[in-house]
Amino acid sequence: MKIKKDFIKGNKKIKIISNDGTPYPIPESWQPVLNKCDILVIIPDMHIYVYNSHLDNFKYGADAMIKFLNHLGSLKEEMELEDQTLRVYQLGDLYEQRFPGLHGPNATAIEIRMSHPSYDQIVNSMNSMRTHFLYGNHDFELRHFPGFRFAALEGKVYIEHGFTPDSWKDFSNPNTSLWEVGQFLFLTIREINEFFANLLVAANVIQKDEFYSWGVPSGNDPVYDYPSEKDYIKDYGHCLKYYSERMKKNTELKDTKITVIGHTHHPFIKTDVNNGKHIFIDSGAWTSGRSDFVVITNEELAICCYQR
Amino acid sequence: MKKYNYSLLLFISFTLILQIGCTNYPVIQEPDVQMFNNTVSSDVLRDSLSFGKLTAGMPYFVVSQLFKNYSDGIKEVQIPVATVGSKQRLVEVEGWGRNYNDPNNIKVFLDKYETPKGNLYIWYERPDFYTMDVSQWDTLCVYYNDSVYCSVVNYLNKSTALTIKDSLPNLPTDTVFYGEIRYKNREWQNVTYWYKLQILSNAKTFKLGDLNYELYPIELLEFNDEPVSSFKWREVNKNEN
Repeated sequence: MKIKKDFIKGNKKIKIISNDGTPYPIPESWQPVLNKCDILVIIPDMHIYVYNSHLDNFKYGADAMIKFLNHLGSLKEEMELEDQTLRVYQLGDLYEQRFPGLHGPNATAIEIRMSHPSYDQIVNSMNSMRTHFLYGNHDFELRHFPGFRFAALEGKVYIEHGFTPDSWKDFSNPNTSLWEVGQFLFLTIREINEFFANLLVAANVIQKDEFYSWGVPSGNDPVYDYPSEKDYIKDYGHCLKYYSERMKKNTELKDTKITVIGHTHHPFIKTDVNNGKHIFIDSGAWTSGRSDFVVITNEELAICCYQR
Repeated sequence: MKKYNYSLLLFISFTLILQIGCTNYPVIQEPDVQMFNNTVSSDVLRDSLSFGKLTAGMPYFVVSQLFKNYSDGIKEVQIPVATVGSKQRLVEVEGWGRNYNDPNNIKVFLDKYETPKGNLYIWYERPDFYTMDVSQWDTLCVYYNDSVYCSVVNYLNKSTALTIKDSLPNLPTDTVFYGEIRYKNREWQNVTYWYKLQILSNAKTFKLGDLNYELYPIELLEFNDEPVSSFKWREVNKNEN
């Protein structure tokens, strides 16, 4: 199946941002790369948080997400009539559960979802499409539930959130020893952040629902760019190196040709990994102004964005 | 002695004022009729609304409009519960004493309001064709351009899609319709819960449209610990005045 003809289908909001707007052809010797579906869509980090909070920046991309899910829902139903399958993955960090909660120290999935009708609709749409959920480091709590997994294998495509290469110094890998300590520290910083936000509201410096989260872009302005390879290697070269080595050496994944991660919020494709034997994809993010996602068919792959 | 009487009088007056202050409930607001009629085409539900009755089958946004002036002290909303009728909150706790409930499986919510006439409990649920007991030979009626198109349900594709017996080529694929299911064996239940449906290109299969909790149907009402068929908010307001 072709991405432009069979997936985008004339939807003017969907743009391919990788490879100068052209889908990358999957080598014929690899085909088919999918074994249980005809189109695979992977939605990266969303970081949905309580809607009215100063710390939530997903809200600016929520309407675009609803429209995108509606496109996917209709396409999935149409494909099913033709005995074809569209499979959707959410790559982890669906929720921002490492921020303060309404009734407890950490925000819960249910209070985030019910904080606004749009958020509830997004989760409902994903559930009704039987989206496969992985967990990330910001919604690590979801590991307790049977529907949420660490990683998935779809034919020759390996999918994981992408925190595994991070060391203890990054405070973003739940498998490292200082994870809980680091998270306690970050939670305290966010509580202080919220305290100052409320002070600024009282002093009429910011509006009641204005975004105010230290070190996080507001997401008010859309971001559709495709960062350069140089930037990616500089900041996240360790991720590329880790997954390249893993595809090369790990005998359990010997059939894997493509690895897809998220986590960095930085979209990137490298098609000549291990001398052209593998492909590495970082799917970007759907937060902080970005609205990226990955589409893979048996013939092509691309990183796309959904414009607001 | 006189000084003591003055103090007593002052104390009683203060207590009375406090009592009056505490029992002065906010007025229950009238819901937005136009918004309701734009969402729901069922005559039965429209009639109930115009008579000032909140009933099962109405979308949840009516409730939030009725109680929008209620302060946080006398209401508790969106309490996640396991089933319709349950009043026990499903709690998620991390760390010590952890307690988990799968967020994807929480579908039923409860609102509690204190009114001058007593406590009102309202349960509402995320609907799909399975949980609402739709089955073969029930009738789907779709409203479009002042016409009603009805056809028998042939089969359920899944929880969010069903296929009817007759094809309806007059319905466009890019439009969201109001739809109702009329159950075959339950003539008494002439009002059902479907507000948003989309037809696919085969002109026979309908997919449940995107929805959020504002459109969840009310499943059950309980007033003063008794299940009730309706809550008459105008009578409650009248009694208060």
